[in-house]
Parts: sequence; structure tokens; C-alpha cells
Amino acid sequence: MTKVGTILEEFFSPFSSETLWVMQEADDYTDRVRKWGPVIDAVARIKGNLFTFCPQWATNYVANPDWEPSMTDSPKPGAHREFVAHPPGTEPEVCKAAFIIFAKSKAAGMLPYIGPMIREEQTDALYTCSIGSFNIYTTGDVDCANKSATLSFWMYNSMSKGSFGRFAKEPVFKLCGMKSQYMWWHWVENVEWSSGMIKDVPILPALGGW
Amino acid sequence: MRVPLVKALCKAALGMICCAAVVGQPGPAQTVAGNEVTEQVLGSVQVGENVVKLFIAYSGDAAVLDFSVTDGRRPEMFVPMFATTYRGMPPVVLDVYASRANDEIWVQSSWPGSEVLAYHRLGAATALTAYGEVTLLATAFPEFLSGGPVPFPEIDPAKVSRRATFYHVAEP
Repeated sequence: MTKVGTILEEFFSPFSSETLWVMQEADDYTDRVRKWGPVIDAVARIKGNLFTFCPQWATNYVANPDWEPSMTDSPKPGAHREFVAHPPGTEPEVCKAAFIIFAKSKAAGMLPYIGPMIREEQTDALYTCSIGSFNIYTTGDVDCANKSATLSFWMYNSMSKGSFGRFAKEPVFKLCGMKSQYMWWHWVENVEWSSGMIKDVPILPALGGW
Repeated sequence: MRVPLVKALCKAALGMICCAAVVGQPGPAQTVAGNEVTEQVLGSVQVGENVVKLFIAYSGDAAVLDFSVTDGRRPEMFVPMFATTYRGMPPVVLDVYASRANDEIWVQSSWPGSEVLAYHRLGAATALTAYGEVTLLATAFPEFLSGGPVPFPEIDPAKVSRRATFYHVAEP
């Protein structure tokens, strides 16, 4: 299970190193992003595009088994793309509040004796603020005749010095390593639209995950 | 293994010092730069009656590589070609090709795997990009981009020539 605090510590640490974070469907962080409004909206747009342009999906946006997530900002080739810029809920004020809660609980956790009893506060806002803008690359195993598809979503964000704009040049950041963190979240969904409306179809455990 | 343990503890402790320093800033997370849009112009080229401009638009924690087109009579319209989530753009060389009749343009990049970024028939309301067929926009930085790559018309050297080359080597 991936904690956002672990990613932030890696990013800010003086010993920071570039890290690839791949979070699969069972990961708690993936579960959180799938319940995040901007991701729900983006996924709805993607499904709407499949509904309208099924033949294009069947031809152009097909899974490549050789592709693997990597530490690069290059787009996933042969995939439908969805880019969402700084969605609501990632405003500086919201993020600052979430960060303060986290930093306070983290600092309290380092106190002698009582520290181990204090739980780190990593709020939903901290998880989503740490993403900010994101891309989702989607490929499908599509059956246009039967109006059904299995969609593979790869959501991507990179956190780098550039993400923090001019503040990254402030003297207080000199201690911080701020090496890029490459984050990928992956999940699979089944859909069908035989009724004229695109609907989710539960994935049986034995069939899930590729 | 004591060394990894010490490193892990230092990482956590010093990381938190940095976190604390960040908390003291006007806004700590990936949106600290603010969502106002700033432009870094890479260059522009005249194609017939139209001026085609290539630039990077920065906003918040994201950046979009655009081209814009205007004939001086109608408002400038924008075509986003590539977007990143870290307020930066990988180094790239961009070639602008145009048909001999000055009615079509292509933008070709040096990035592997995404050689042609956009095609536009000048005067049309749409363009082809890695997001599919998109409508020209009134803004350089839309809230979202949605679509998928579609085949571009081929650049035929007999009918098309390179009009300009622009470089993006590093962030400002």
C-alpha cells in the first residue's frame, strides 16, 4: 500500500532519488484516485469517447503487452489521452492546509515516548494535492459488434522541482533533493452499451487485472 | 544493516524539515505557482496570410505546448499539442512545414514516437493532434484535453516545404 507521505518524504529528502511509483488496482492510493471527482469526470469522458468512436478504439487504442510504465513524461503510445489541468481541490490554500496537518502529525510522531502513539494524518486532500494535474492513458480490448469493452487505465503524474514553480528556487529548498517522482496508477474496468447507455460491468476476480 | 536504517531515519527527519519549510511558503503543493497562464514563445512564422506561433503555456503545475494561428483579421486561435504535469517541457526541436499553396501546415517534433504533433488546414475550424480532431480554441490552456491519436496526412516533400525550425532546450 502506497502512502502519499512516503512519496513526499522521498521528494523532499536531501537524499532524494528519482523514483518510479507504480500503484496497481489493489493499492489504497489507486482506490483513492478512482473516487476523486476529477478522475471520475475524466473516466466518464473517456467512456463517452469509446461509446461514440468505438471503431477508432478497436483500431487505434489497443493494449501493447510490451509497454511498461517508466520514469518518463513521454506519452503512452497508441492510447487515448486525457489531460486534466490543476483540477478543483488542488488549490494552494487547500494543499497548504493538508500539508500542515500532515507535517504537524509527522513532527508529533517524532516526539519521545508519546510519538509512537500518534497517528500520521494523511488526508484525502493531501493525496489529491500531491497529484495536481494528471494524464490518463487508456487502451481497450473492444468488441464493437457486441458493444462491450475492457478498458485499461494508466493515470500518470510526475512531481518535480518544476511542479513547485518559483518557490522551488527559495533558499529554504536548498536542503531538499526534489528529484522527480514518477507516479502511475493502474486499473481495469469492463463496460457495455447494448442498452444505448454505457454502463460498468463488474469484473469477476478470476478475470481481473492485466 | 545499520547504514540503510540510518539513511532511512535521516531521510524521514530531514525530509520533514523540508516539508516544514514548505509549509512556511505561500502554498506548498504542486499548485504553488498559481494558475495564471504565462507564455514562453518559441517563435513564429508567416504562412501565406497567416502567422503561426509556437509557444509553451505554463499554468499551475502543468505546461501545454501550443501553436496558434491568426490572419490578423480574426482573433488568434489556439491548438494544444502536448501537455505535461510538471510545469516543464522536454527539450524538443519543432519543424513547421507548409504546403506550397500555403493552405496546410504540419508541426513535426524531434521526440521519438511522436514525430508529427499537429496538422491544420488554414482557415478550418479544426486541427488534427495527438488528441484527435480538435476544435481550435480561444484559450491556450484548456481545463482538460481529451482524445486519441489519429493518422496525419503525410508530409509529401514534393508538395510541402519546411518553413521554420524552433528549439526548446531548457526551462526558463
